Amino acid sequence: MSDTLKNRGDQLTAPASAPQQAVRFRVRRLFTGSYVPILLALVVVIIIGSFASPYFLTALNLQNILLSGAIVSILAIGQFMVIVTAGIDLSVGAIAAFATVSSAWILAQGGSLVVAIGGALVICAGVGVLNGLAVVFGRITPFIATLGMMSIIQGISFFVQGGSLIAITNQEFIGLFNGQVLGISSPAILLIVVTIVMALVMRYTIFGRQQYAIGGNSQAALLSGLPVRRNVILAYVISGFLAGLAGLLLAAQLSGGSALVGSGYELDSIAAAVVGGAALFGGKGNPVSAVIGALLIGTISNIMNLRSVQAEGQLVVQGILVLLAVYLTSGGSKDFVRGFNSLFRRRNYAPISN
Amino acid sequence: MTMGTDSRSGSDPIGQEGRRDEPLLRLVGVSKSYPGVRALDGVDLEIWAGECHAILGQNGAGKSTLVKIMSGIEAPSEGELYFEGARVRFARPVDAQQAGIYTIHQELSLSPALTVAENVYISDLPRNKLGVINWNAVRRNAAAAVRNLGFDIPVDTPVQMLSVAEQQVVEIAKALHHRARVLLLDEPTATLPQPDVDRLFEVVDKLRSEGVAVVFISHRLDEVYRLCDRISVMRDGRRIQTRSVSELAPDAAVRSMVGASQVDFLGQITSGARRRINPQVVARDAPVIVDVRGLSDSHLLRDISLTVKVGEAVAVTGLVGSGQSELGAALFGSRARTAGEISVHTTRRLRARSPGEAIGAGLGMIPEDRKSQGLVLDMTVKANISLASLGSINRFGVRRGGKESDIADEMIRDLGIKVWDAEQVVGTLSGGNQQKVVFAKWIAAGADLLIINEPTRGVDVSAKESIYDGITRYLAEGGSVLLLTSELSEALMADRIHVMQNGRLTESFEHEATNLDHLLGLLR
Repeated sequence: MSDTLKNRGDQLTAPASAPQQAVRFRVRRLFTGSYVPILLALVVVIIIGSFASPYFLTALNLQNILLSGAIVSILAIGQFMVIVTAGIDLSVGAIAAFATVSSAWILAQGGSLVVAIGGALVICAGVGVLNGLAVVFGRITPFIATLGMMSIIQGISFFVQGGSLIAITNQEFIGLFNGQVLGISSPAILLIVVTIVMALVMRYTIFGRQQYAIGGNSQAALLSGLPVRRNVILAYVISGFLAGLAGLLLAAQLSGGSALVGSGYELDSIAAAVVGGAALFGGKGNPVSAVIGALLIGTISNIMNLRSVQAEGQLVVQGILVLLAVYLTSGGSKDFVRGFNSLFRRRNYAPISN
Repeated sequence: MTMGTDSRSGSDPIGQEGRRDEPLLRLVGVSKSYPGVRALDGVDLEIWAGECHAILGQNGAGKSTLVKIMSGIEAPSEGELYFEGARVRFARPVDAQQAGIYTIHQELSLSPALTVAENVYISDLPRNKLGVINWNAVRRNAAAAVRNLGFDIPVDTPVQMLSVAEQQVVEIAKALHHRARVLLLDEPTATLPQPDVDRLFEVVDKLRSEGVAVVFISHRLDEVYRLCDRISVMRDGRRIQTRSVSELAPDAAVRSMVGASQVDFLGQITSGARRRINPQVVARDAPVIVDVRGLSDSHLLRDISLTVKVGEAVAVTGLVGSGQSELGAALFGSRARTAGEISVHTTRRLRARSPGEAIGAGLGMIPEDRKSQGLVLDMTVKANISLASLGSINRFGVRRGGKESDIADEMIRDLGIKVWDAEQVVGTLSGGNQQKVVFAKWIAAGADLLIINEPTRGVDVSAKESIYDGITRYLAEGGSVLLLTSELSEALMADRIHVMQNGRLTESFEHEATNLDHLLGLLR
């Protein structure tokens, strides 16, 4: 009896057209890859923008979009690194503000450029360590742990800042983070470098693979011997570090450090990551899509600025955009997504079963 | 009465005939189908006032579906329900409750932060003319209700402060407050320590004497025989038989639960040589691969000692919930143990604080639930296969993609995993193929000993065969296996069989020294 069953199984091996179907399968996967829909959306928005305003496609305007988008984009990458482990980091805005304050304070105390930059980044990564410890060993849900940390860090920033703002007079610092290198603005260069590095980390390293596995199924990851605790802590460290980096850009733009500048960035970064296809359940998305998500939101608000849409209206549009993105990626739109995917599917394609 | 009383429903142990001619609750031809599965198949059942009616069955026999239908959580695909002779249809749990059928689920449905009194009266707090709640009446009545059940629980305590047994009593008090006539207890003793079980049983006895019908879902035979008047045995979605406890001996009940299919299957082979999952004979003096001594944990496992030799297949079997799965987790480092030593290859002691350590020592684990514990469903076949052996494709932190693909392709070929390519997402595979991917993960990781937990639960017959084939091949290539299973026929394929009851290993036999009848006799 077992023989007949086995034979039946063998007959089910793919028929002669298998290579063709396998190729078709791969092609389909190429077009339904997680970055494709968001990239298409960006292209559509850019086309709309070019009709909406003659200034939209000018080099100056595009550079503006990139400049103002760089900070949110870097925060979004850090946020993605946490979200992919099924966590969330509400403290990124506060950490960015803390970086502005601490770097400005170090410079004001006569610290060198290197100490100011290094000190701010180390402190911010350290806050990430605390976030990670609270989540992993304190077993506090990420939402609450980072909410508490947000408040603590904001308080400390106000305390360090003392007055209303610590001015930065060091032109080297400002030139480095808000100037130009080889004719390209330095925030844009930083963003590109960070994006490429994190994209490579997530795609080609052992660590990246582990993060997707931990977010996709932490139980299976643990039972496969992955260092789940260490890696979850590292996710918050990376998020803290990148928030610090975004904070340095912010400090250079402001020419000063202020505890007030970070608020709102945590939600913007979450919105960007989610619009970029990251699922809050973890295990999905990629850093490039998070950046495109941030740039998409930035481009739309740029278009609205060019058309003189009021700030109130812009908020409404941004909210709708986030809801729409989540609806399409993980909400009750499974049928819609299936319909979209079926555009790339031939009629005779059937999923393989045993 | 359109339907006559089923002749198999046995004698009438408590003489309802004199009291009433209708059962409280009657199911006629109830079936329930889910896509691809027929969970219930033409079940007739009668629940009479004042009886305690046990429903026995293995996992997957249809007990929980039956409970869902009686408590209004699911509607039957076919068949009818009658309450006191009148046809009823339950669209929601509230409908069943209004009829007088209350279910105490394993997961209690109390509001943890509210007090005992508030929970009992949650849906109809007594109010005075101004609409203000009469708290004195609430407290007084709730206290009386709880005391009436033989418990003395302060009614101002939030229920989260109570023990599980006390919480169950609060649930029962709530049900009685709503004039429950039929009480469904779904595995109520699963998480209870013994003294609390005794107290709960006193409550059930009291309810029964007051004419409430109690339906008791359990796989613990001793409790069923202590408590109940009648037993219905479920298997494969059918009601196999209903008998009074005096008519159905415990070993016959187990036999009925475990099923004729297994008995036939083995009966046929016992005439010749019984199937052996291990293709080779392991020498008596073969080296030991894992040696467990005196292992205990804080909850269930007590003083477990066993060894597995290189190339050997050892099974640990017992009814569901005897502790096999917990033993596997304790060995693999995913469950804390309080005592005991584990050594691998006689030299290496396992502190077993983490699965990573166990994997490093050459162990692998195929968990009971592959979807929630074995696989990352959103990842590719390739990524799942390499998950436990990422170290071997690590070059300064960078994943060696080429080597990873080669390993994955080799595994797909060797194990006959049916996919288009290694990049296919694992969640889109069939159950049998997913199980093969879990296997491939451990072969890729070079595991010497696989702890295999309930490998064939929830897979169909053909997939079962291919899983057994996989185990056989793994053994042929020099692997060793610790098989944890509640399927006796599966355990009987091993070289050595340990019997587990209530967290202890009670007996152990060589392959030839036991058979199904023998094991069935032990497991009651």
